[in-house]
Amino acid sequence: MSNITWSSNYALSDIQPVRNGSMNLLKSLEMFRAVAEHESFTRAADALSLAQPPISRGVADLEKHLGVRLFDRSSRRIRLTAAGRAVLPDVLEILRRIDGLAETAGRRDRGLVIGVSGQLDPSVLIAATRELRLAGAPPRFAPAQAAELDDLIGAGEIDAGLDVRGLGAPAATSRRRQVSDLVVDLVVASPRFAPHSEPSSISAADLRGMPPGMGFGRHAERESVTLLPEDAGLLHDSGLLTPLVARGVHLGQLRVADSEFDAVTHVFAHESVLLCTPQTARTHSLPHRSLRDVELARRVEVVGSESCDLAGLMETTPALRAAIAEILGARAHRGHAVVEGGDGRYADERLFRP
Amino acid sequence: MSETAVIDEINGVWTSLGAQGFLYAEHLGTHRSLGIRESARIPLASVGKVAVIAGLLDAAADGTVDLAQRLLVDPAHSTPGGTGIAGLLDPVEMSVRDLAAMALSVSDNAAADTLFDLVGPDRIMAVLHRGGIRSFEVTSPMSHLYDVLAEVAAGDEAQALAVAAADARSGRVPLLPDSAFNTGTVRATAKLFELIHTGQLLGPEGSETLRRLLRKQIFRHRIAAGFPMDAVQYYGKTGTFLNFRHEAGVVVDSDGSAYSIAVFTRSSIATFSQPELDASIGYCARLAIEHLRTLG
Repeated sequence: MSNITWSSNYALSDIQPVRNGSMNLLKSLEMFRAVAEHESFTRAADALSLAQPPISRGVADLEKHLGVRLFDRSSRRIRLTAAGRAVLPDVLEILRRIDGLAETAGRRDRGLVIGVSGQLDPSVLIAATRELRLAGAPPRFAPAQAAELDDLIGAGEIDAGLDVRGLGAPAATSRRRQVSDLVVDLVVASPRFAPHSEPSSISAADLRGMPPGMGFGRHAERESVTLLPEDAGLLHDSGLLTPLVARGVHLGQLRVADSEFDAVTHVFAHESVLLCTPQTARTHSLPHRSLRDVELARRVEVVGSESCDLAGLMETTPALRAAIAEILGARAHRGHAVVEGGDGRYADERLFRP
Repeated sequence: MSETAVIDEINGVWTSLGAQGFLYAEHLGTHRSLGIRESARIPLASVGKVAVIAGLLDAAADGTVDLAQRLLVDPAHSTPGGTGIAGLLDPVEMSVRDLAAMALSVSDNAAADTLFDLVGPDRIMAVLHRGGIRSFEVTSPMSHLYDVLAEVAAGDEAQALAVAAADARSGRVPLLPDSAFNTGTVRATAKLFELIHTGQLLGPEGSETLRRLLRKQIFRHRIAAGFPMDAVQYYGKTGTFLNFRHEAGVVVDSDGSAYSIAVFTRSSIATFSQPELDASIGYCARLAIEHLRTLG
């Protein structure tokens, strides 16, 4: 018979401990935890998305297993018995440890894999991602060919991608691609620049060549500005070309190399200039300068998938965005357009001269 | 590139074109300069018009001349020339300051000589001497060139050109001595433009007016062709007569530094059309100024 008052005999008289091999001890512990937390079998059932009878059965199985009443069911509000209060801390600890087992085992299968086009510097990668966690797991960045990113996502080999698009590349067309506001500035690299000297930036005017069409026998190769194949779009982008031509760099100076090897060979053979990322310049031990008065930068495109909205993640997780910027050597693009001839110089009668 | 190499390259260009060149360029900030035969006195042709207009503005500044005064110029009786009023059929009435614009923008001989008569050689030379310029003389009007042609070749320009070109290499043309004309050195010419640029020749207001007029020059086939980019400004004056092709002025680079530049050439080829030589004036001016630019 039930007895409203608690007594130490409660535990022993009412329940006969039974070793039940078919009970799910782990599930019962979770149910016990839920009932203790919500002080109600009904609400515990809701929280675990179960009906109440399984909850009651699970808790009852646990009580039988332990040979002790864990809850006082005599009033409407369910309360822990002394025994229940005694075991609760241990149950919580046990369940917490079970939850953490996956991480303890070093399991990564929930960690994101992000494919990255372009060069990845391992040391930069490690430094940038050391503290980074997404949903408890560190994401992995893996090098990938730009052209393969979509296929790799489709095949499930990567969860998302970062595509550093060359100058003048057409805008993102697929639905899973989004243009980010991150850009990777290009520099001009040449063996004719003194290494490690100030200033570290030059004007585009310092690259200008002798006027084209005047064939006075000068060697033009040194005046070349070599573009890597991915940046060939510069030649068709009036917005990118105009500031260069305005400063005297003429179209005949721009050449597109067949490959990075061809580009670097030309630069060393003719002391000409290569337009590339600082990383590429360092790879080939080429002194480089940034261009202070024209902006030549590659846009970073974010490729998402069903399993990963990377663009959204970058927005909500500043640490991820910062790590990506560091890995790619990118910066946030200032949204405004550079206005040429702000003093109206370029809008004067020179436009109408004969 | 060393200075010797630049000079050699420039001279090589002109030698290959059958011409002799005279060049002076100076960075107006650092005063580093490059000169090639910079002390030779060469007929100025229309480059002298700059001094005429400088004299005019000087006379206007002290009230001697009224820039708004209207003058009649009759092409039937004016100095001949390939551009401007001389090519019209009927008389025109124009203000003094507009005649100045014609003289410098299209190198109008009729306009320039009208102003020369108004201002007078004494005033012109006084302005030059005040600026410390001694090797740049404008004491006769453009019509004098045509008088000499009439004397030497009965007015036949082609004949005169042949005569001039034949002895061009020696620099001595007995029938057409350089001394018959307004002459100047490229160094003095560059100095004149430096004083125009810095405002020392005429004071700030007069200099700005003169610069404004010089910016109206329509010819871009010589020095301007060496700097074909929006980011660089140039103003100056061409000069062309027989086998002489000149230009002088000021280049203001994209970083704000200014250079005076004067290039005179004398061709040994007796053709009126030599576009390569015209272009070489820009090319060599560019070589000289790029050299000065790298000197820092």
